[in-house]
Amino acid sequence: MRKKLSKMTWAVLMLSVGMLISLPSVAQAGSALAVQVKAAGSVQDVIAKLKSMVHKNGMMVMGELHQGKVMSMVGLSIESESIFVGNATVGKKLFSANSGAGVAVPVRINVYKDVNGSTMVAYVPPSRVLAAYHNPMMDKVAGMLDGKLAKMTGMLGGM
Amino acid sequence: MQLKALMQSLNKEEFLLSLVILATAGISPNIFVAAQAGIADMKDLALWLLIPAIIILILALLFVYLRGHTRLVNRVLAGAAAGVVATVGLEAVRMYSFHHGGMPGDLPRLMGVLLTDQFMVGPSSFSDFMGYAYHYWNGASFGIVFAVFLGRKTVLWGVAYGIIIGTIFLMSPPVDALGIGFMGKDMPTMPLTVYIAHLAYGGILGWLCHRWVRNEGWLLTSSNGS
Repeated sequence: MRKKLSKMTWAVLMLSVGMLISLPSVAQAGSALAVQVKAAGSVQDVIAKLKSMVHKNGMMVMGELHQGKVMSMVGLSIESESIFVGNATVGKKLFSANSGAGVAVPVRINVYKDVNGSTMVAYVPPSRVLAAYHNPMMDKVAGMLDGKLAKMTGMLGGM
Repeated sequence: MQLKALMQSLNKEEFLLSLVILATAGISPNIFVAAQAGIADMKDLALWLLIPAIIILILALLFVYLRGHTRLVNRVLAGAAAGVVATVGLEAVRMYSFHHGGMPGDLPRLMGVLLTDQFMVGPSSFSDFMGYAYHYWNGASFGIVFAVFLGRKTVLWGVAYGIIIGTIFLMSPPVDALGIGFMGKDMPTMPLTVYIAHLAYGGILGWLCHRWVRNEGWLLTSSNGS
């Protein structure tokens, strides 16, 4: 009995430590849904680097949303740009699996300047949105997209 | 009987040309409303309605001039010029309010990105130019409608006309689309700005038309003054 209690105590302790370790990264992300990465350079620089990486990673920029400019029409001064990325093959696979895939692709990547003046890159990993469809094919393709996005955005901080 | 006598005294050609000019001048302000009501894209409305309307108006004015309808020529030109100048007054109020947080958005810039179909990209010098050109053309169009329909009137008529335009604007789909409630009730500085701006527009329009329009008679008054 004493031995069992000891094991449980250890398990609870390990779990607590694990949760404590993971807390800072969650707080840094700022959102449980979106991935946020700090990038080097201005918003325009990061957008330019991202566009280059998108092409090198076999994807294309399908659209741009200049939110900073759009918001200037309501008198708000912010630096925020979004690009929509994807490719035809991935799109075909996802839409073939479920015609509602448009909620996640093309993937929206937002680059903005935060209150501290840091340039941040944020996106919602497609797997987190598409998981709701419970479709193995979608999960597989979304997982690949997640990997590409993580690889691209991971390179922005060190550049 | 009175209507029959009225119609007999009218210069029918001038009357019909006045209707053509009123109809074409009335297109411009309505395309923004129609676009915000979701009827069609503003760029399509501009391409298929506004540009043809401007061309027809110019051709009609040329025809009016060649046919010697001097009263109507005077009204169109005086109304358009007074409308443009009056829009400067309206803009002074609107821009002051916008830059002090009294308006939810910069409408001429919004009109520009809608006209050039670049809302997602945001405003550029070209879209701003188009937006302001459209805004001033609207001012000219309302001026033409005022002068052609009413003729020379006092400043008070202009003020009343401005208030009517402002009220109709506040009740229109573009204000609904701003998300500030019916007639801007959730942002009181907005309707206040709209009324002050349109008072300025109407006052200047009425004053200038009183000076520049030569004949007092309204649309259904014969050009010889009867």
